[in-house]
Amino acid sequence: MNFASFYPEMVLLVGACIILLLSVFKFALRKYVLGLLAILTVVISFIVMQAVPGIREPAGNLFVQNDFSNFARGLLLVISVPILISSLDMFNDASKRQGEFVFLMLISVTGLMLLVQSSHMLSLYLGIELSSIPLYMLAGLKSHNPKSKEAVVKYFLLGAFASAMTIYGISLIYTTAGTFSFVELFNNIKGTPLEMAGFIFVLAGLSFKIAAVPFHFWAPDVYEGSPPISTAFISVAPKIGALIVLSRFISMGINPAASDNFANLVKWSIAAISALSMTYGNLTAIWQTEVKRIMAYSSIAQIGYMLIGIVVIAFSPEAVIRSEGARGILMYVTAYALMNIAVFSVIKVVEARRGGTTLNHFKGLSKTDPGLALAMTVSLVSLLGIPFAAGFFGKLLIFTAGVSAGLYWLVVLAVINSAISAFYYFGIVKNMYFEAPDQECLRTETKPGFSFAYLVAVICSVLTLVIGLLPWIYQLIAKASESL
Amino acid sequence: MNDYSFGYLFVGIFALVGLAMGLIAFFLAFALRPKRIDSDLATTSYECGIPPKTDSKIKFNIRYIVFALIFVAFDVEAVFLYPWAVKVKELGTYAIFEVTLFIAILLVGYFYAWGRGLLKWD
Repeated sequence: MNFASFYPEMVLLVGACIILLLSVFKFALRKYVLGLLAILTVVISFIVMQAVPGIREPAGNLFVQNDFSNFARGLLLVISVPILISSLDMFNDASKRQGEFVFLMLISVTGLMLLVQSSHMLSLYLGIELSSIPLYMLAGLKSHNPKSKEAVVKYFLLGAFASAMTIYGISLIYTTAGTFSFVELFNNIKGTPLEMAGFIFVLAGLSFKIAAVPFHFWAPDVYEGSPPISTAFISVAPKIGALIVLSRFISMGINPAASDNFANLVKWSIAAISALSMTYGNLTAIWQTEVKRIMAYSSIAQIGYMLIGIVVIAFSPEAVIRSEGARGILMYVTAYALMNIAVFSVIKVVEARRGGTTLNHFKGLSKTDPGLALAMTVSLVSLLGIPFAAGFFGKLLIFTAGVSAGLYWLVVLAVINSAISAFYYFGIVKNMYFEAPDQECLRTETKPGFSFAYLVAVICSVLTLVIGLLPWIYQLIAKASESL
Repeated sequence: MNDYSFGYLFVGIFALVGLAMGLIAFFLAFALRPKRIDSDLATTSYECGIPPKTDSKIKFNIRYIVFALIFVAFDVEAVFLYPWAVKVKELGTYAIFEVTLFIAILLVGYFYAWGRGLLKWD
């Protein structure tokens, strides 16, 4: 085992522990000091990942380090910076919770960074647990109202159940395959009924983490009840981790030539989850009036599009098409992370300034907060996939990969679904620009001051516009996806 | 029967013996106990030999949970330390480093609980 490979994770752990211990002392500007330390930790971890030699050497049987996993690790570190910045206006100065938020988030990022490099069932499970348990607590950090309590209890119980399913599935695969390592599973899976059941259980556990249909029931309640900044993290980071590890599991661990039954099960179960997720998410989002719930169902639909990349990997054994699918996944999760962080930062500011987040609260936002309305519009348009926003390039790469793999029906379904999603995305835009502000939802007494979430929303939406036009990001993603 | 499923034979025997032990204990208790019970006190649950005063479903102080959590953390630590202590001479300095790290991580949680004032009763 080469420890140098894990310096970035160690930096995060040590930084998180120092911040946790510092957070018990009272000192001036504690909130900002802790937040800055956390950002510093993430930046150091990123620099260490890029700079320390020997970091790309293989790290034993449990983990695999290549450009693919390193891109995902870097992405996880990069997206945690805006969330840490906007978390600065989550708590008031006297609250002790800032240290806890930062600690839990850094631990969760550490777990996800281990998850994206895992090439072994044990490290997969370790990564899932290390990242999930802090997430449950992040969902409940502001549990004053019953909805928030409901959210955290629901998330914890269902999450624990999903983890149990994952480990049960792993044990079932082990009974006849006799190994945990993905590389060895490639030659040892014979397609027995036990292995099939095991695969379905593992897939169910991972689907829970990414909130894909039919394991999505927690998502709307948790997104609605949790603090919006926690939701931004919950809705983005675990999806990156689970998608990356699922694509590695399928490309490394499953031999399409070994057994027809097993290969068909893998292909069609993921294709079904993908098709169901996008259709169900979009059709349900239309009927919602609470913007957080709209975004929850929208993220269920988005995960359906992202899963097309995994379906491509499952359907085609050729390395070229597989790396095309991986390229689509990487571009899409990058774009999706930016868009969702921007949207939930806007929701955070609207909740603080107008006291709620129903569609009524968004009415006339362009008159009171034009910058905020513009940031929201850019992110929604990008989620919809209109050209030259980041979401468009994500969808483009995913859909072309689907066409190369011959999955015309799935791509057509996804395009139809994108058209349906315009209805509710533009519904929010219409309320912001073409409706008069609802007087009951305006809080005139609170003077809008400086807000970190506002800043993050603007930065992320600007990045959404420019990132699809930067050539180096395609080079990076193309290089990363070749080593899937 | 190949080697692989032969391994499960022992699991099956273990499960059967475990089940039988429990059933035998129940049967012996049933066979040996007095058939006629004279007082109500004999049918109540055992509470340190004195007559029970209240229902078992009472409200207890939520602060206990913090102590319970910290206790469990260090209890599990002790469980891990036993096998380590048996093998530490063979494993050498690397194992000492690992255990120090393990205890240090637990101590972070302990100091945090201390600093937050979770160990104070009032």
